[in-house]
Amino acid sequence: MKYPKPINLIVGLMLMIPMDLSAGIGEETEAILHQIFPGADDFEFKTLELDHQAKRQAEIASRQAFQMEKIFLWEIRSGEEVIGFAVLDNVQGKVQPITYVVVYDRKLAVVAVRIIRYREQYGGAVQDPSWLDQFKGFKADSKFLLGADIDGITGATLSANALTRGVKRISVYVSLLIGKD
Amino acid sequence: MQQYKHLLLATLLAVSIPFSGGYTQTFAGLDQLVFNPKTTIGGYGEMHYNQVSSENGSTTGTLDFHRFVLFYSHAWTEKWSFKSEVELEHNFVKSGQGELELEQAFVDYHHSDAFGIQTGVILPSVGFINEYHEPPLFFGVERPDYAKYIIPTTWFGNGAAVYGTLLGVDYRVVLMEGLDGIKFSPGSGLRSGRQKGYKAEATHPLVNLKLESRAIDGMIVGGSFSHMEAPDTLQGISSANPTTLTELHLNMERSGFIVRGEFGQIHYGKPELVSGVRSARGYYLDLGYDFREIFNLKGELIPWFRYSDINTAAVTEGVDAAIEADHHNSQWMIGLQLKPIPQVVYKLDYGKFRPENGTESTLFNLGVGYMF
Repeated sequence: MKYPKPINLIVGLMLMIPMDLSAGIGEETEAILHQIFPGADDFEFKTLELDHQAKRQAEIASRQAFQMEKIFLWEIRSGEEVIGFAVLDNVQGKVQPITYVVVYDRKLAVVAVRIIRYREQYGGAVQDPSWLDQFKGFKADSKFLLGADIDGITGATLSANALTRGVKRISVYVSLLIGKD
Repeated sequence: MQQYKHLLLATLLAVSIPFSGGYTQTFAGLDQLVFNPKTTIGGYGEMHYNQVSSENGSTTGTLDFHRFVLFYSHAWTEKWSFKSEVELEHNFVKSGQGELELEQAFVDYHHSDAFGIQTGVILPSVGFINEYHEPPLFFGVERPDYAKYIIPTTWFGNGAAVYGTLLGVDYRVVLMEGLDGIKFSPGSGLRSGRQKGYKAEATHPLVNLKLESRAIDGMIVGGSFSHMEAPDTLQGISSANPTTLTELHLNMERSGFIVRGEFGQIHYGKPELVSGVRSARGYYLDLGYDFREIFNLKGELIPWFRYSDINTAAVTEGVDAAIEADHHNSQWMIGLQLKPIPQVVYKLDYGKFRPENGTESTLFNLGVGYMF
């Protein structure tokens, strides 16, 4: 039996380490947006300051505070036409933040929700696409009632609750902000 | 020289990959904006009223703030964090009354969903309630008797765990302090053997493995196996009682129905050290239905039913078999739980406790619990 030479192991390890580093949150999110909008040709990323009034209204409607000071927004276009939006956001898990993206069509109905980073041992079931697909079609004025509109998850009570409120909060925020334009 | 060529090629590849995503956007600094080191506080608590009426006419009633728990945690990076759980039981600590416990305190390295390591005071993975014991997460004011006499919750100790999800299956392997075998008893199983991290005897650690699947929507099914040599903390391995605990658990939630059941068995290697008990076993089954949709409620309203059967001396050797009946009881219980929001629960239950040998008693409990 031929064993790998140490140098080959080192090469292998060196290849693995940067693969890990390359997966930045922005790149990962944008790769998902490419899958959701295969026909789009422009994904414009913007970092915006939170609008104080819209923030307050979104927090009241969702009963959840923003975790970050800024809004990370993609405007997705096909030719000149805007066909969708996406917002990257955090909610607080038990200890670590959960980073997720909410993707909207141009009428601001939810097209998809995806978890970008889940950093906890417990509650990982919120990453399940079939659970996240329940948000499809929701708009800012939807109720987002966990247990009725959205199924709860055993063993992920806090994460499921935080995400449900988070998607509501972002939906209200973008409806106020983008709705004004 | 050929080797160095490979190394150079690998280095070049490694450096180039982060810049070769093919996207025109730059996300400089985004990862740092999205993640900030943070200290968090969480917790749970529960207050109970327990009334026990014995068939012989006596009735007792106690009001107890059973548990007040704080989670204090800090995340340094996306992968490195510290988590802790400090518990005050029964409101007050004084010479043998009440308890102050450090139930969790560990450094967590979460490499990925597939792999993480926890080192410190940890909980072994045995059944639902040892790890998920916040009051809104189980039926009944009190935890099921199963989670006391078959699985000695809350079971915690010093050690390390490796955990993750592979091929859709959650796994966790724990190596931690064992139990003090000399304190096992026919009446309370492993419970009194817990060392609780207090200068724990650790020459012969506990090994615990859990596997759990969530492959089917709304269903969790899993099991665990634990083995320990259980030496006497004073006399050492010469008086060890090699012991295993095996359990299976299932939770299903579908169309408002909730079914939860657990079954567990303890097997003692040396029955003579546990008054002749070879095995203990027990189970409970919960059935509930959430009336939220029917009544168009904002919160949960769940009436539920439980049946449980426990025998902490199910199989004996070399002793009068009557001991088996002495430690056998069954219990049925009906209850109602109301959760106005997912983190707050009000509970009410009523049931009958039927020992095979002994006096039947009627239980009535009220409780409130919270988690955050």
